[in-house]
Amino acid sequence: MATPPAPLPSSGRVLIVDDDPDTRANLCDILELDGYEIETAGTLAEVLARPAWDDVFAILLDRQLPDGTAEELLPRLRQLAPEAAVMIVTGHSDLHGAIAALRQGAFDYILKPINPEPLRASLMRVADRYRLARGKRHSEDAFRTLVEAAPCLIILVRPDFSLLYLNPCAEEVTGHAAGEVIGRNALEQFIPPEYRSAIAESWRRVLAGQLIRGVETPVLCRDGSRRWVLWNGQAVMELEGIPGAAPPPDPASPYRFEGTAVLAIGQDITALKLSQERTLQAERLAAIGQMMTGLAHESGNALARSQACLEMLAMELQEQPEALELVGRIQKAQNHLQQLYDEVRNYAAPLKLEREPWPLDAVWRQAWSNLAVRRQGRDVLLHEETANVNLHTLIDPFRMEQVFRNIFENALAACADPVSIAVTCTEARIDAIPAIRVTIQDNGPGLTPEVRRRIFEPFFTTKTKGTGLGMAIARRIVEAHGGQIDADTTPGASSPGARRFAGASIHLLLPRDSS
Amino acid sequence: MSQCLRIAVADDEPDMRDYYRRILPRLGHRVVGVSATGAELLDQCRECRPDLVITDVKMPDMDGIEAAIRLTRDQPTPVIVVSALHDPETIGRATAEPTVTYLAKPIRQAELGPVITQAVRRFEQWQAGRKDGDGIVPTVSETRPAR
Repeated sequence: MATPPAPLPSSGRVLIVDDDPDTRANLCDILELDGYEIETAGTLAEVLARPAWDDVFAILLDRQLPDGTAEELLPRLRQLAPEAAVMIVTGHSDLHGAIAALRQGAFDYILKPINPEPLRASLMRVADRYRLARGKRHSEDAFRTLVEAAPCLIILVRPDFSLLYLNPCAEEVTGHAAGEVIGRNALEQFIPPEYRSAIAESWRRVLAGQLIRGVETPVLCRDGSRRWVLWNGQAVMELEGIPGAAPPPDPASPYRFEGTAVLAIGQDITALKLSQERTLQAERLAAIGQMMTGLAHESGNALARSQACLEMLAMELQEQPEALELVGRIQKAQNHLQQLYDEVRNYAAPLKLEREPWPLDAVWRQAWSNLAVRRQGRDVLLHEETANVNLHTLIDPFRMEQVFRNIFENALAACADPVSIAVTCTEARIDAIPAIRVTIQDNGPGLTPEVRRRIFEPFFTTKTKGTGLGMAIARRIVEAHGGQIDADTTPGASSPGARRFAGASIHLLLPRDSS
Repeated sequence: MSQCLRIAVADDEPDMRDYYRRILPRLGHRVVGVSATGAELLDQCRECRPDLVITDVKMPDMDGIEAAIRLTRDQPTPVIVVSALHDPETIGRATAEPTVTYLAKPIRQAELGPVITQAVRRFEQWQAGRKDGDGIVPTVSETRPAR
């Protein structure tokens, strides 16, 4: 990041290079009138030994020095002080030499004997030009700083949609380093396929001179996730010296792009989107809750009546195995309907915990044994690692069993045989309160970033059956206990033992005494 | 079957009344009264003096829990209260009554028998407690609502 420019010295520094002390003194007298800072040197060697050249804006250079000529020194000076104007001090007899020096890049020449007024006027022009150039550079630095430090995404896209520039914030949000992506097709790099035609159209409109305000799109990140960005776009003309931009293929014009580009400035609104989604979800749940209150009794009664009639029908059909088989199938469907109904009602109903002292392992073992039917005919193992951990908790065992059951059910559905599920407990704390951390790992395919992000959302499911409420209910119950739940994918560990569980991991953090 | 009970049932749903009529005899009991409302249930109980009552909660004119409370006052009888509501308030009201056992709808034939036995035992324990005068009402583990 560039530092802010130091204020320009009163009038800048002038370097006088002359071996004749009288000429030096004379020049000093004249220049002091205008308040310049003055430095003198008598030889070429002395000039080259100077340390810093930053603030030297003019060099008055005698053509003939004891250890060389102005022509010899000029190329070096162009390197050392590219911004300084060199003025050759010369006699009438040597005008040709002075003109040669001008060709080498000297700014002007001054004839001896020195006439103060033209010299002062010439220096004044040089000082003005220097000050302007400095000011411009400082303001460029300042703008570069602004662009690079701006807490918003700034990208530039050429008319062929190749990426010309992205600022550090855009790098951070997308996870892409500028060096990796500049020059690539920005549309394909950053915009999800389903949004590409709309965004291409808005970029074309920008290039045609329109301002685009408030366009929301997801942006593709390096890790495969998406972030929501709100964009404003407009065209910019004739850019030069774009900070951080890689040189375009044409070496004759490095850091230079002339023509129109799309300037897009974006705000990462992922968090806002998430909270909007949550609000929406909460509203949807409230609506469902209201609906459920109305529906609960009637549907519950209807299900109860249907169940009663099924049992009566089964009695009537005792002697007819084929018809009885059909009743069995209806009973299965009825059970499924009842289960869905119970789940939704359970999720919508207020959660009241009945806490009892209970060892946690008894709870998950109960959940595991209740899944016996699901495990039938499958190759499934449950591992427990609870060494030295006090498993006594004050929890609602019935609710917590539901949490474990839902997690186990998901693992059983996701994993192919042979299934290994590990429950690991460690001592932990939640804000200094004693807690137990329980990790349930499986050896399935793990969770995609999308699933990991949405697994606890109500009605989110990757299965073809079910309400998608299992993990949402689990979260609700765990949070009602003052605990936390999250999900991730265990990175494939190096030891073969650990690799067995390199699938999904669900972490519970439960306070020992949840009341 | 340990004992043949004379049972009065109440439900505003004809399907459920029909169910009790057909199922209870299979469990070895006799249905002595069938009502569609709470008030009707109380009238019938006065006449037929049943050993056990099975009643729905939500019925026109008087709900099943209210009917059970009045019944306890006039002629203490074990009552099974059946409901599809299973909200904490209903369950709380029902289980606060020493004579009442709560059963969540839908009813399954397999669980009806054990619940009847449990209701009768609870009632007998309560009555024994009353005669001893210690006033302690033994609590029986309640049937928790289905998931």
